[in-house]
This record gives sequence, C-alpha cells and structure tokens, in this order.
Amino acid sequence: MDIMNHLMQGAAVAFQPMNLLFCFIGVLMGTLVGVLPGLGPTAAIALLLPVSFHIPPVATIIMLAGIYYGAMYGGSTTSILVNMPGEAASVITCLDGHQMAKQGRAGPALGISAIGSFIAGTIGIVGVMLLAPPMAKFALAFGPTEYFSMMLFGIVIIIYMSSGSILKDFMTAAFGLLLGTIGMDAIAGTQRLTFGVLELADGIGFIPAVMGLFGISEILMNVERVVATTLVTEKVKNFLPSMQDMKESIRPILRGSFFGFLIGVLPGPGPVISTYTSYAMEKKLSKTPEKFGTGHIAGVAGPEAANNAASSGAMIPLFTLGIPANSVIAVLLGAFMIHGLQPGPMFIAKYPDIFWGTIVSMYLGNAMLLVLNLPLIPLWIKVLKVPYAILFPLILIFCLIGVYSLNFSQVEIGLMIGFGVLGYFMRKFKFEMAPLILALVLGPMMESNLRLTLLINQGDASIFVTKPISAVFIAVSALLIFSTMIPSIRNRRSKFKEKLGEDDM
Amino acid sequence: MNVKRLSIVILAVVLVFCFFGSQAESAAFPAKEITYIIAFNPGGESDIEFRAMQPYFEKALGVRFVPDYKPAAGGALAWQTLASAKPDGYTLAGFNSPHIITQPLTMKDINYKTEEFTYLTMIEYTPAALVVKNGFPAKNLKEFIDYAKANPGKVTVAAVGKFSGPHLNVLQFMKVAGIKLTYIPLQGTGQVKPQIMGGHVDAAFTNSPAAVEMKGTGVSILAVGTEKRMAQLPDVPTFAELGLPIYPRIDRGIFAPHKLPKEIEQKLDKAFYSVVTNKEVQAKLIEAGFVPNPMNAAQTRKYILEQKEQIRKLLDDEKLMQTK
Repeated sequence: MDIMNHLMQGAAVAFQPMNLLFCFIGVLMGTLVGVLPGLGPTAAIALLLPVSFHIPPVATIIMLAGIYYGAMYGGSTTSILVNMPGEAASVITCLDGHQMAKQGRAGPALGISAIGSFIAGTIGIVGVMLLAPPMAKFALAFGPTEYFSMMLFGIVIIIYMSSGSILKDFMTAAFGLLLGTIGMDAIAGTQRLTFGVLELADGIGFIPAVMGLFGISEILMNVERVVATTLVTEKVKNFLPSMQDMKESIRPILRGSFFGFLIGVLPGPGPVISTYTSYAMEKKLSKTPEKFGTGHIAGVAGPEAANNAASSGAMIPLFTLGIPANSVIAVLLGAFMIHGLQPGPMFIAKYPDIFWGTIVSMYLGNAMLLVLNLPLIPLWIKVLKVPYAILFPLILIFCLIGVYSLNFSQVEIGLMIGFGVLGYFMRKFKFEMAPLILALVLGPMMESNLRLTLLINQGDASIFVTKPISAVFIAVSALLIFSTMIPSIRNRRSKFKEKLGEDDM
Repeated sequence: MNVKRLSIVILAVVLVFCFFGSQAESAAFPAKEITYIIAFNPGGESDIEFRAMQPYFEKALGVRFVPDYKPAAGGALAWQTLASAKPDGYTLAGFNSPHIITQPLTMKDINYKTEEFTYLTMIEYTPAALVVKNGFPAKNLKEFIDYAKANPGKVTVAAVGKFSGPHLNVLQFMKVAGIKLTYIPLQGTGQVKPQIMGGHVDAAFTNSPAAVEMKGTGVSILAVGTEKRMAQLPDVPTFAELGLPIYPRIDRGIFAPHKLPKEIEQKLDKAFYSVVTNKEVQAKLIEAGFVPNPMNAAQTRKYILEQKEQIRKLLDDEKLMQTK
C-alpha cells in the first residue's frame, strides 16, 4: 500500500514534538484571528512570516496551514454570536447561525459548526490524499470560459437563496456588481470610478465592505434598541447539539463536504461559492425550506462543512501546481519561496516529507480544533451576556483596528464606515446583504473572465455553450432561473386569486 | 585601561557633536530606524528580496529597517507616498522597473515623476521567459516567430497586467521579432500558470521562477531574458543567443525621495552597495530565483534614465501613451 507508506512517513514528521507544537500554535492563532473580527488569516500569516525564517520549513508550513484552517473555524464564531462574518466564506453562516443565537441556541450552532467542520476537514484531507493528482487536472480544465459560467451560476444562486423579495435581491446584486467595477480596468488598464484615489485602484476591498455592512451596521441598529441590555435575552438552553440536531445536520454536512471539496479545488472564489451553493442546495432539498433564515440548523451545518472542505481542497492546486487559490494561500506560497521550496508538479515527489507531513498535521490540527473549540463554547456564549455598552464599543474598536491592519490605509476605514451606514439603511428597508457581498466579490472576476474569453476567441461568444463544463453551468443556471420564476408566478396568481376572493366577500 | 580610552573617545565624540551641531546631524545618520516601503503584498517577490537582505542592511547601518507594506495600483500608491515623504533618509522604498517608468507615462492620477527620486542601488532582476502550451505547433523560438508570422493576431500570449513590465516585454518582443500576437492581460503570476498549463492561452511571458516550476508539466520554455543561460534552465537559450537583442525582465532596487542630502545619499549608497555585492547575500537571492545585478547609486540612475528613453519610444510607437 503506497498510500499507507506515505501516511506513515507523514505521521513520523507530524508527530515530532516540535511540529506538534507548531501545529497547535497555528490552530490556536487561527482560531483567535478568526474570532477577532477583521483580523483575518492573511494578516496573521503575513505577521508571522518573519518568524518563519528561524524555524524549519516543515514546521513553518504546518503552522501557517494551521492558521489558515483554524481561522475557518474561528470565523464562524463571530458570524453566529454577533452576526459579523470574519471572512467571505462565513457570510452565509450569519443567516441561520445568528438567528439560532438569538433564540438561545448559540451552543448547538457553534457545536454543529465545529463538528461539521471536523467531519468536512476529515473528508477534505482524505480527498487531498487520494485525489491530489487527478484533481489538479480538473482544476486546469478551468479557463476563463469555465470561470465565467461558474460565476454566473454563483450569481444565479442568489435568487435561489432569497428568503425575502427576489426583486430586492436583484437590486442589491446589481448594486454589488456596480461597486465591483470600481478600480483599474484589468483589460484596458484604465481607472474607473476612482476619482483619483489610488487606494481604489485595486477595487473596493472585501473586508472593509463586509465589516461595514455586517459589523458597523449591526452596532448602529443596536444603538437604537436601548431596552435590551444583552445581545441574547433568552435563556441559553444547552451547549451541545442534541441528537435531533445531529440527525438534521448529518446529510447537509456530508453533501457540503463533498461539494465544498470539489469547488474548493478551483483557484479563486471556491470557498465562498461553496457556502452559497451548499445553502441553496439544502434549502431546495429540505422538506421545510421556509425554516431557512429563521435559525435552522441545516443552514449552518451545510455551509460550514462546505467552507472547511473547500479550504482543504485549496491545498491541491497549491501543492500540485504551485497555484495559490486565494490570498491566504498566496502568502503561504510566499513562505514556501522564502525557504527555497518551489511548489509545482514535482513538489510531492521531491519533498514527500513536507507534503505528507503537512497533510497528516492537518488531520491532527482538525482534531485539535475540535478539542479546543467544544470546551470554548460556554466561554463564547458568555460573550453574548456582556452588556451592549461594553460589547459594541469593543467590536467597533476591533473593526477599526482590523481594517487598518490589512493595508494600513485610512481610505479603507472610511469605506468601512460608509458601508456601515449603507448597511444600516439596507436593514431598515429589509434588503439582504448576502447578494451584495457575493456580487462585489464575483463581479470583477466575472467581468475580466468574460472579456478574456472573448479576447481569446476573437469575440465569438458561442464558446460558452460549446465547451462542456461551461455549458453545464449555463444550463443549470438557466434551469434555476426558470424554476424560481414558476413558483413566484404561481404564488402571485394564488395571492391575486385570494385577493379577488376577499373582494367578493 | 580600555575603559578609560573608550570614555575619552566618547567624550571627544560628544564634544564634537556639541560644537558642530548642524553638521553632526548628518554625520550621525542614521540615528533612528528606517522605514522601508514595500509596494507589493507580503510574501511577494519584493518582500522576499527585502527579507533576504534586511539583516545585512541593519548590520551595515546599525539601525532597524521596518517594512511598511503599501500594496495598491501596481506599486503606484507606495511610490507616490515616497515621493511626498521628507528627504531625510529615514523613508526609503523598493522600486520595480519598468513599473516606475511606465506608470507616469500611461496612468492618469500619478503625481510622481520617474526622474524625481534619489536612486540608491540596483539589487537584482527577475528575467522573463517565453513559454508555450503543451501541443503548440512551434518547438523553438524560430518556429514560434514563423508560426506567428503565418497567423498574424491568432496566437494568444498572456502576461501579468496592462502597461505593466510584462506587457512591455511582450510589446518589445513583438516589435523586435516583427510579429503580431493577441495580448491577454491576466492578474498575477498565480493566474498565468494555470492558463498556460491548462492550454487556455497559446503562450505566456512569465517570470523565470514560475517557468522553472512549470518544467515537466508539458509546457515548453522557448527562451529566457537573461544575458547568459540560467543555471536552473541550462537547456533554454536566451533571446539574445537566438538573434533577438532583448532582455525582458523586472529590475528591482531601492530609492529615496528627491533631493536627498548628498552626505546621506553617499552613506546609503556605500552601505547598500556593500550589501548587494556581498556573495552571501547574492547566494540567497539566487536561491529565491533572482539574478543579482548590483549597481551603485550613479549607475542605477543612469540605467533608469536610459530605460525611460527606450520605453517612451516604444510606447510612442505603439500609441499607448496617455500622458505626455
């Protein structure tokens, strides 16, 4: 058994006391930066890069990878507790997770996200072990054409997720796409809507937007509510998910893990799209789709599993192709280079101890995270008991420091506050934030991939339906749009009929 | 006895400082930590280069070097910040060429001028390599050029950015080879690699470390932009060897704000030159995929100004200048 040999070799590396220690430091740091709003894993890894000069490469990679997946765990904690996603991949967790917290079920929500993440992490790692080389080929099959179609699919999913007004979701998504056009036009090289502000040349940063829309606006909303003194007024029922919760969650977790892993392998927006896809899928498969958005545990379990499996999947293009799947992985790639290691097709064969050592350490790290996070749940729930007057100024300070620590830019602080005010009014007028965020993230990539496709194919757009992968995405998107239109027409008709009936009375 | 002698020296130094207050100020440079602006992301090539040399800079000048990341607009934000910093030697930045030359020529809203900096040193360069996808009909540079001539505009060539260093490399290549390719601007080397490995574009101009990483994936490396063949790519000829006098590359060095006092400039020049010519430093740079290219302050300035004239002419011919 080749795989067993490799695993033993990896275990020999991962179980060295020094490497165990760095793995623990990594996941602990990751959990912390994930929990602190704004301080993302990219910033944490960048801060720790200088430290990595003085420790061996394997320990460096193990620690940095630990920060990465540790932050995935931690990021959902703030989503659930204070409705503030630490990163794009935990935006969806807010929808049901925070509702659960408001109903006194923060414990089960946190519990299921830890357990779901553990299961997904495990599945993801098995996937990396068995499928790394073939999956790398799969990722390479994605060119601009396929990316565009996949992102189109991502945008269409918004309609699916809509729990409120579809029209309003379209409006926010369109606004998000518009905001996404700000910055340097990557194809023509000209500045758009930047008004001479160089900080805007690379577009609106995702972190200031998401922290403003979710964090700052949440604080503004709560300033109005003077009556309640703590975030959760209802009694906290239990800390761990019940058997019933587990039963409701296990299928979403497995489905989320599977799809999350597949989508995560694709460089770019993988983890984000995986959470949206998982949520939409669970809602569609559920017998009680109306429960989604009101604190349904499946709405937490699926996406949480998906983003963790996706973060394991993202290791495949890194190790096999030397391609960073997102900004966190890009910094990780920088760490490889500093140590003179070149990730690429030859990497696994050349440095088996580093590759397998990291894989086994990821498994250990996932177990450490579970052990670390479950006992922490009662502690996190105590956070909810902290009076507004103390909790919210603290969150505000964390947001300000967090945003500034990203690029040391005052412009981004201003942006965050602007988005906060925007978010406040969006909440007042019952607009959903999630479509805006997804459109802002995907918009620029969608645009550049569309234009690249047309450039490469000399303006021939038929390529989108003649390339198989792309055609599948387009077909599924079209189907989705139709299937949402039918019930809404039906609903409107039945409502109309009811109205007529009432008038007759 | 030693202690006594030392205290006399210290006393003398203090006295000298007291008497020649204003002169002492520059003689004492550097008296505090130096801020080093990095125009790109942590973990990127500019960061890796700085991190490799940081301890040597600190040893040579006796003060700490504190990195300050200002990644935006392909480096323009960082260089704009430097241009408006006080020219006291305590704020320096890494520069990339041709970025530092093309930005004022092609971007609006740029408030710095290429020549209005004090260039201190040139450190290294990253050569570019021409790579073609698996199964492309041309197996060497000559065949590539013949194929492109037979199919004008049909061959797609990807590189990072528009009006960027790599884009300029492509323009120069097309001009010298007398061919027309369709340019595909991508964002970051991370995007170039999968596109060429997946065969979504025909060819790519990419930095040589990326080319080295892609060895063995089916892509072919046709030529590299060094003067001599690279140790990591012994089978790959240079452009010059094949009769094309071009050296596509990204140069990196260090500069300070305009009108830096002469004494400070000389001090930094001397210190930096000793570091960039240090064999130990160069070995580290080579390991990270760079080609050491040490120059002192005067040589660096001369090189940049010469490059500027060439690039201005190229952009003018291609009608790509946005500002004059």
